[in-house]
Amino acid sequence: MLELTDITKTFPGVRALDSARFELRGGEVHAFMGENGAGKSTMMKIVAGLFAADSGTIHLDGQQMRFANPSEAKAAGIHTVFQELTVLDNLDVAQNLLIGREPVRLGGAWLDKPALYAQAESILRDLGIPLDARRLAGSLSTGQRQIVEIARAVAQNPRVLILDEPTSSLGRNEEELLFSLVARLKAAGTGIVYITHRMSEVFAFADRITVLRDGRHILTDESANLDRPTLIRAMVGREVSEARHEGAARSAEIALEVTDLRRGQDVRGADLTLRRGEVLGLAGLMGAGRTELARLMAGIDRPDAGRMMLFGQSYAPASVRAAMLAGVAYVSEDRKGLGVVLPLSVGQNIALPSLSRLSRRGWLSPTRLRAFATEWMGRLGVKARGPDTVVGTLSGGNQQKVALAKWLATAPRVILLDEPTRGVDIGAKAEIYALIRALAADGTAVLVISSELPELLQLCDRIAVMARGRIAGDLPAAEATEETLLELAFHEPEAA
Amino acid sequence: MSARATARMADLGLAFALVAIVTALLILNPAFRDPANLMGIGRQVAILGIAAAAMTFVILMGEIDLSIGAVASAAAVVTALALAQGWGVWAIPIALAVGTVFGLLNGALVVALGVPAFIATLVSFFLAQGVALTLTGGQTILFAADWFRSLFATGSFLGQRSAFWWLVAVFVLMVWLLARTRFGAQVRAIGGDAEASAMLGLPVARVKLMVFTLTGALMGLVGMILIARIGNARADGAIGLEFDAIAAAVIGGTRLGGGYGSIPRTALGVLLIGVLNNGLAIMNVDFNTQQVIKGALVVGVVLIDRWARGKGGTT
Amino acid sequence: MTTVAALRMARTRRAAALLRDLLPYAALVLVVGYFAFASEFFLNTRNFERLVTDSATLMLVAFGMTMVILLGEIDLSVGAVVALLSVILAQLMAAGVGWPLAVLLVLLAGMGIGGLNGVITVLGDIPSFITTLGMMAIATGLAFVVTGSVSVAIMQDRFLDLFYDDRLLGLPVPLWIVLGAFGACGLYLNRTVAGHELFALGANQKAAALSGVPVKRRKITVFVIMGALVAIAACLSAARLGSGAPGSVPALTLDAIAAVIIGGANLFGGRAFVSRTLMGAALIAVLNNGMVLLNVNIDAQYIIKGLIILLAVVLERLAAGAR
Repeated sequence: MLELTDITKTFPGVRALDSARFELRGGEVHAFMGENGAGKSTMMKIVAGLFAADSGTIHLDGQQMRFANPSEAKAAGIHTVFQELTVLDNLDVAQNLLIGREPVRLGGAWLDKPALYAQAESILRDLGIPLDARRLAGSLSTGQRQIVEIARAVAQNPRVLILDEPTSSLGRNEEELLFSLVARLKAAGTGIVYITHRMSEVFAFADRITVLRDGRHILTDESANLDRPTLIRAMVGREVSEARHEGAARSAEIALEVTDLRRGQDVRGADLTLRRGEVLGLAGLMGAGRTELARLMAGIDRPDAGRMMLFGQSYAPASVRAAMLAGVAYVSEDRKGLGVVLPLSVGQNIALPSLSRLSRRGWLSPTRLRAFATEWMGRLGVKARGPDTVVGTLSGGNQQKVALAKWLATAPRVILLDEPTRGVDIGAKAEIYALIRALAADGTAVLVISSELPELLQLCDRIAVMARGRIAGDLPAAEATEETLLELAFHEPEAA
Repeated sequence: MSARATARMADLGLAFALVAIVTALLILNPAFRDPANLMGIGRQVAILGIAAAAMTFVILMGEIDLSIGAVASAAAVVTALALAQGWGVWAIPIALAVGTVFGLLNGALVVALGVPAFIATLVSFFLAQGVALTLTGGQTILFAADWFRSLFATGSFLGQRSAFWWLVAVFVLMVWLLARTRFGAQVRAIGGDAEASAMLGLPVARVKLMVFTLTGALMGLVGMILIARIGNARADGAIGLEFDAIAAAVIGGTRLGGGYGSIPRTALGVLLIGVLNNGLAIMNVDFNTQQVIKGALVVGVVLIDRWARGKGGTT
Repeated sequence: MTTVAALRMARTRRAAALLRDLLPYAALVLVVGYFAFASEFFLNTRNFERLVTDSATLMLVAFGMTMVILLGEIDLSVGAVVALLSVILAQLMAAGVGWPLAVLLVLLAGMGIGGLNGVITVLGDIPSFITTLGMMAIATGLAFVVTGSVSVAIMQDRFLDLFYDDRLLGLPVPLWIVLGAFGACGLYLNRTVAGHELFALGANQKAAALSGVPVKRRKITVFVIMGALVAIAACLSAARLGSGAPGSVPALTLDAIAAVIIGGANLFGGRAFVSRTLMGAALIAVLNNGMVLLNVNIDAQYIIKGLIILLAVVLERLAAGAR
């Protein structure tokens, strides 16, 4: 029914999709799987009309389609429930359900409110959703909002429904509700694309499974013909050829120790030990809580509960500055949004966290700042004309080096690197790896969060895996394989 | 407490404040009790009411319009000149056109160029003041057109002045637009979350442009009522209206940043300011003290609203 | 987007950025040239001095506004606060307070008002245009209430001399004050930790916070500095008029914002320069002065200024690569 052929999509620096294909039948649930960054979301955003493909074709019921925006895709009967909710807090449930297609009379001059609520109530009743149509969406729980989002799509009798990790924020009752909705659509002949990281759901509900890896199509098969190890192998599948890092003699001194750290739904009792001079990898699926954990350690967010020790002393940073003064630095995964300040110069960026240290009673000397920036540009090999170059004009790799330089310049004892090589070309990657190893050799404790397992295997001494807000386990890198790590990442503890 | 319950509490608080002030005035001051005075309040709030209704739309959508006082003044001056030149009925479409053009300019700057609304409308403020000042040369423009004055302000119908009926008409129009049209639903949705609205396929740019333009057109009407009431036009005739309009909307519970607010509640806010102005004036509290009170009131109301919603997640 | 379109857009942006940077200088040269040609009184020392003393108030306020806009905020209350502070100053002196103490008290009052704006905006998490709009209403009202709506004459000649008539090294004192404030603001922005952090803070508040910048303290400080500059501006204004006049000066607020925008500041913060603001303010000062000399309708200045700001805003958005 829906057929995507030879879809290629390139973003600056990354080929997200490389002649990928996908085929969906009416009345089936088709699980769409792959590691983080395999291209699943990009593919579905193309179907939903949010991105345009560079090349390739989309056929719906044999007809070639091209969607310029989400409305066109919807008009063709393709509805998508993204992870980012589009439920509007200031409207009530009925208005949210029927937004953009409210019942009107007199050629649109009169909004038929009684009909609006009648329709909404009948939708809720039909779908068996126990929500009041007049309740403000802002007062609903995340799970309930997710249900409203799904109901909005389901109520439009879609030909194709794409669900992007729909169960990530659902409670058990809501999950059952979702599965009954899916079953009902399926019976009505709708094709359902189901993106998820939960293996148990895949085997329980999917008729067929497609695996994508590095933007390419790997396999499509009946789920009955597949098992868990096969799937994991298909998702990993790379030649594990890169040379492993030789596990250096580890120092026994504990740099940072985290015990039963908790914050909201993201971090639910994490324990982690980071030693001097080691590179510790932190693996996990999207939403496992890795970034959130790092933010707690860096003093950006405050934990609800739990304890942190830094070199044997109690450590509870009240601010980023406090963490910095204690010798802990965090390099954000969101380089353009949080890591560097794009409109400012390389020099301004590098000096930013060190300004106080560089000043004499609050006064700065431009010569001294320039020298400082130039020195760190040299140490990290930032390729820019000079410290006055605007960071926004640099390549991803060089921006990342600026982000690293700015924090290394604060002389941290513990450095937390969140996706340090995302969107960075191969050459710069190798340089960044060498830099990280050199840091560890100098006695810095390094934590590397990465979604690229080969990167962790190559770079780290030890790898911890996070799943659903907890550390599911950790292994010496020499003993770990992508399979064992993924097994841990898919770990589903009993719901607490 | 649910958002709806909070809103209800706010309504109650506002109504209570209104009743309290009115009661106090009724007891304390005989002049206030005079029926002629009470009727007069309706007339006095006509201009503020129309401006506040328009401002409610703009704020509800998550924007702001600082130009309305200047635009209304410009429309007033142009119209007065047209009337003085004997253009007759043509003065009416001219007034509306002046307002509409400035509204379109605001909308275009915000939508097409992404200029922050407070800057875009400040530019319009400059231009509109320029037009008004240049045309008047600092003088007061006199005109004689009894039909016009009667039509927009002084005429009497069912015991109320025509200005009051214009206010009623605009309120009905705005209530209908906001509560009973798809357009109103879109305004509310965009104010709630413009990005999500765009993802849902709502015509965000078009709706924003329309709201700014509608506001401009209504300022044309305000300009006409203004000169019809007093029989002449000055370049600074409606300067400061933007502040009173924002005050009324905000006191009426319209949330800065968008998404929450309603015309009936703004009407309560208008009434509160109207009664306050009237009562304070009768008690010989001058205009300037009123300004101080209103200024403090606006900031206070916004602060309380912010506090009631709890701290936003600012790092 | 195709590569061709991307290239074309990049070219438009570069061209717009160039024009944006040239605008204050080019417009100033054009306007000065025109007035020099059109009026024999324009290019002489006396007129220049008058221009400087007349525009000193604007200059000071515009420097402060540069920092506020650099943060991505706005201050709509400055015109009203200048009026209020000048009235307070005049009344203090009329009540027999010596001028040095009166000036000091007004300076403190200005910083207090600025600080209040900052605290409400930053700690209350309220848009600054609302806070300062409220402050504008309060200050305007208070100025009239305090004086009973009449101007208060200033009788202390020493004050009038010092803030208006006196010369230092042959130049009028107001010019020295403007130069001093210009230097101080320049030093603050370019040579201090706080100033450097403001650029990062204005461009990307979250990233700055993650780099350890004390966001709230820095923002409130800027509002306090704005208040101090407004207080000095009020002293100059009162000295020039010889009295404290309660009539608020909305034109002052608009002119100050105009000067910063003409100076090419980013409307969302992160990019603003005192030196370019100086050019923008000079342009506006020359316009005000020249139009009086030429006896043209002084009111047309609003339209001319409005159109220049419109041009500046459009260029800035194009240069920033808006949508």
